[in-house]
Amino acid sequence: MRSLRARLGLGLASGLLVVFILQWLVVTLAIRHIAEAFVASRLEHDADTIVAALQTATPMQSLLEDPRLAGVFHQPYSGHYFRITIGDRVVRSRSLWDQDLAVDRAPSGAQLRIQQPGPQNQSLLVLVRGVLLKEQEATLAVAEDLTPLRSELQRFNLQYAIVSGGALAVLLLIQQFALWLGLRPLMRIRAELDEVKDGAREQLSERVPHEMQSFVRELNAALATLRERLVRSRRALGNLAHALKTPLTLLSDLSSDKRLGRWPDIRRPMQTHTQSIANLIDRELKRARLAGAATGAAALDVQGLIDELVTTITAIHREKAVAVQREAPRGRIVFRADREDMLELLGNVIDNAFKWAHAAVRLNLAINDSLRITVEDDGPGCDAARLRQIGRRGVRLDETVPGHGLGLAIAHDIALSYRGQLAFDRSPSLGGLRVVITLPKYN
Amino acid sequence: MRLLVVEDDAELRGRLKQSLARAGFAVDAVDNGVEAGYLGTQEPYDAVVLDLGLPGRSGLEVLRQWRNDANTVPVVILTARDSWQEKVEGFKAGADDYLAKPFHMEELMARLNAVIRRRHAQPGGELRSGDLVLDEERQTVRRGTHNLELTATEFRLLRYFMLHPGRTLSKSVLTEHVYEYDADKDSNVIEAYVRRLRQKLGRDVIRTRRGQGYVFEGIR
Repeated sequence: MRSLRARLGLGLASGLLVVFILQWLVVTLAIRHIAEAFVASRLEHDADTIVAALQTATPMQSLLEDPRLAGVFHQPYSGHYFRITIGDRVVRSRSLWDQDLAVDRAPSGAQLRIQQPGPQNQSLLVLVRGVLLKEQEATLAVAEDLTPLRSELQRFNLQYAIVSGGALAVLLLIQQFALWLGLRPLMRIRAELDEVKDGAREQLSERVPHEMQSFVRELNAALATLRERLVRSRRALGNLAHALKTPLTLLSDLSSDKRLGRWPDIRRPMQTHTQSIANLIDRELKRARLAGAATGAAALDVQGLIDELVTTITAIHREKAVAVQREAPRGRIVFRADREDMLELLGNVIDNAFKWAHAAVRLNLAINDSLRITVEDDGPGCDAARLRQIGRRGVRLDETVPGHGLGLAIAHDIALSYRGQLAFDRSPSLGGLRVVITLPKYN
Repeated sequence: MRLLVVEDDAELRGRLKQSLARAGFAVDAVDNGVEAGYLGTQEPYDAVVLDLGLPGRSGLEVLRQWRNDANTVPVVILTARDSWQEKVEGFKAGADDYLAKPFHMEELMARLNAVIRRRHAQPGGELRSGDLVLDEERQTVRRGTHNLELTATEFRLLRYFMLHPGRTLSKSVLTEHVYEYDADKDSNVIEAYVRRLRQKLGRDVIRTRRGQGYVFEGIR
């Protein structure tokens, strides 16, 4: 059982059920006990009356004519009976008709209550009392049929069960509602966490029940630390790049000094090494700056991003009149990724296309399970061997000479960090290089 | 052509100033954003080389302020910050070009020349007027088949004339675009240089408008 709500709900409901069954049992048993006690006390009254009547009855048989005896003892099978045994003589109420009450003799002064079947399937409660009558031991048995009482009790039990069941159902509903109400802050936190993952929000709302407050605060603090760390490391890397590149510029400027022209064996390696240091710094810093798919990334408007990039790249390559053809499905294309990463990835690929194009660059956007961006140019393209080499992971940087090199290698790194890929081939329509970027939708 | 170079690294600033001056530019160099913002507003520069990470005010801030004040001076951003995010930001702020460090001086020159030409609606390539061709690389001028040597100031002056053909240019405008901020400016010197250019190229190339200035008529 994974759900907290189901677990709590089941626990509370079973507790409620046990309590209800117990109280139903207790109530029905108690009522039955009270009813039988009531019948028994009536039987005692009857017994007292009969004993009183017996004191004066001579002969014994005249007892049946005594006006103190209730009419029910004369009506056959009325459900009210008595039987008196004195020595060998037996007196039975007329209501017994042709039946008898099977009762053992009881010593004088003893009294006991028994239940036994009676005539016509009646269920009898019998009070047996031993009495001393005119110095003779006598046993008096008074009985009453419990059947009507039992059926009355049964009806009561049924009605009581129905009412209890209804109450139980209402209570269960209230309980579920209370649970839902109580767990709602948790559900909200879950929804907010989803939003954090989507990048739609940075922090969880701290307006939660105070039991959860410290938890939410801790979580917020952790989120803030993570974000801050990313920002700080990016800033630190930027500063490092800045600090390294100015001396590098000076170094490369020095290495192209005309006075060094006389010593080409010094000048050339100096230039190559400076260049390869610059490339290394470029690629490694850019890779380190990658946010990657793991952090909270916002939903980006891909078209808008490409608009900005095309404007910028057109400005960079202004000397060249490059016509940009764009194909995209209708509607906004939204993709979850870090903005800087996407700008870097697309910027490098589109810039490379502009760099090599004669007059045309084609951009194609498609989205289904993954985002697919195709960038083609009408430039010279690449031969098959180079195609395999460019962008490959682990290609040493000093081998990726300027050209279709560094930018695409960086783009490739970024695509990989988003579990995507870059594919290179010849553009069938424009004849130059075609780069296909495929990025799976991150869940 | 007068340039403003904004760069906080002293050594690089020095080399930039030296290389650009050798290429025939009058160069003012500053090391912080506040001074850059002020000079860019006060002085009629033909182009600015702007670093982004500056003490005082960031380069982007300075650039945005210029564009807000309708200052359209061509700006080439020269920075170590070369992510596409930063390039997009730079162009949005109003940059004309963007060059990432480390860079080659030749590339910076080429880009500066390109933005300056574009500003004056001149096609790229060599500056020419009739059979008069300015060689910016060697700072000489070619008329037909023979080369004429030019001094640094003559070259600067002629280039400015050739970028603004047919326009009346006052002596003070010419002074502002040919000399640095802290140079000893005497507008009478311009008269002397114009006279020397006329001697080399012919009287009709530059016409005098009395009380207003000079007009480069070009070669017809």
